[in-house]
Amino acid sequence: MAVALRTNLGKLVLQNPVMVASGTFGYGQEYARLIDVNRLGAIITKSITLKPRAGNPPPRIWETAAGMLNAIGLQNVGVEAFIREKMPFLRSLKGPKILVNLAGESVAEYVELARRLDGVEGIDGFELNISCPNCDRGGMEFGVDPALTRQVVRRVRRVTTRFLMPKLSPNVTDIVAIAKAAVDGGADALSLINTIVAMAVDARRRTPRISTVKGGLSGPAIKPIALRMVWQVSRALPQVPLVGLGGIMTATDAAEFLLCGARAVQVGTASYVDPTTSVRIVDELAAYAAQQKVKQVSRLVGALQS
Amino acid sequence: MTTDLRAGLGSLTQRRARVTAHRRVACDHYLLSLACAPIAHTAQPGQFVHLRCSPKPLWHGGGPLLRRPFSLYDVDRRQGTCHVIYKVVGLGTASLHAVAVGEALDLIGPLGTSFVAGGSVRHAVLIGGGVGIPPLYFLAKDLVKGTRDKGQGTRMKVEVSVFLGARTRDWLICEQAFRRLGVSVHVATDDGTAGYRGSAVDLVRRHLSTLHPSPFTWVYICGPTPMMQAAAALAARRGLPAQVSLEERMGCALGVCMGCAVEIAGPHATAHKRFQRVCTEGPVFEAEAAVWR
Repeated sequence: MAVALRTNLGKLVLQNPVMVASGTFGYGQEYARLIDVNRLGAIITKSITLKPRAGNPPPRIWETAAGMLNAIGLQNVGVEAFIREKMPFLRSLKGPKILVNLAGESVAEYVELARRLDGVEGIDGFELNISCPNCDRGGMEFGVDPALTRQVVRRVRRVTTRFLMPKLSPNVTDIVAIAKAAVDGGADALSLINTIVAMAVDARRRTPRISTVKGGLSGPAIKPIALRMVWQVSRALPQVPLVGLGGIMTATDAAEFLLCGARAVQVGTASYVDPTTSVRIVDELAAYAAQQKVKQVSRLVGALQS
Repeated sequence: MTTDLRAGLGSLTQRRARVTAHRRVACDHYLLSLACAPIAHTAQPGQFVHLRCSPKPLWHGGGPLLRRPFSLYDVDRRQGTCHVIYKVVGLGTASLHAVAVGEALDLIGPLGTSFVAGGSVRHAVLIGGGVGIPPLYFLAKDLVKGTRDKGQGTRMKVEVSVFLGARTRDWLICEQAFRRLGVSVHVATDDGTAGYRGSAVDLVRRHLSTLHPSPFTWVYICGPTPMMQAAAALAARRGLPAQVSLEERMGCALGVCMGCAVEIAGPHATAHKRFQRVCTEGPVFEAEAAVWR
């Protein structure tokens, strides 16, 4: 049975619901050495900031039980070098939509970034990183406060007509309140979840495992939490397109997110484990849909029987 | 002094590679051979492979979540095999230890920068400690063939001196392999159970004092951080060009996660160059560029 993989997030049409998560896929070119990146639904770039950023001192990562703790600190080349050096390759891709992930320390920085990138050819939209747990200022500050979330989304909304998708932080008590604020601010869609603030300890040396002490936890360990949050938000805001992420390793994991109400998914840490994960999930998701006797993958969205 | 370290952006291979040999070479140390012709054919000394540590799927006893990087100890270009030597230290290497000959492991490589031997090298001093020794064997094997002088195109002979350090005799690896290459081998152990009692760097210091400083002597270093720091300082004092192979916890090994960054001495053109990736700008760096903490 042929299965239609095409899906949409409002005005943004995707050839399939499989995206790659920000920070885990560089700027596309790195993985193009091993997989056909044209087969992806969307590529979300590593977070871009106005100025180049050095990032945090090492050690920056630590493996935990079924997870990975990181505190990279948004090391990146800055928006101008991104446009000059990274966009030509991304622009050359015909299959995936290109979403640029924006990170700022102030509302003004998010606005300036969006304004600078708004006219750049080959960008289909923006994911707003209002949930980075690894920077001193900005980042997660915005994503844990409904009023700030609404404000930053609204201000960015004013300077771009492109697809706008805030990425929500799981480090909140009421994810639905944040989701509502982001939609209120003018978001076209929401992606959730970013990493969970966590830490790991070296008991022998009595030191934290990563230099910043706290970091963001990703990988299979966080999938149950991510599923719960997607489910909560989709129940509260059934009309809002959601993109689910957190620990997706297989097509079955991806399907679980669709069933909980996500219209698309992002593959993150799994790309480190196996660079072919994202494109394999594209194929296997079709097989799963066929098995479920569903002709369109989009029919699985929110189809959890509860 | 700047050397043009080769950037690790060449062609890459990912495949399930059959284990062709797996045997103990010293206490806790094992040699693992994998059949992967594309990597065997293109890999250069200093480069590494990124390995899933189990042939099993993740949820069926398949070892740790992330891959583990291993420097290449040797490649057999004719047989199309790649060899690494590892020490069982944690979850990844313990899982690797359980892999049997005939099973297949998912392998990505060759990755990273390689050691550079310029045409002017006449004497190479290799300083290795512990599991930092294996990549130096790959380098020594290459160096004994001589280097090609750019101008003349003829092979120039390189004298290779190897200094190996280990905590104790039982953990000393690769000594016989180096000796078979016909290079001079000097051994130091912390407890004096083999060779000189003390550090390999002390041995190098004594050795260098008998030599005239020469721009034709290059130093290659890989081992535990304190050893590399001492060896790099020694090379700097003697004015010898030196390269170090650095290690850091690694995520993707493809240059995207930025997890394996190490601090590199400035001045930097832009802020994001302060921390560089062991997997992409490294693992081989100019010794003088490394910031030791």
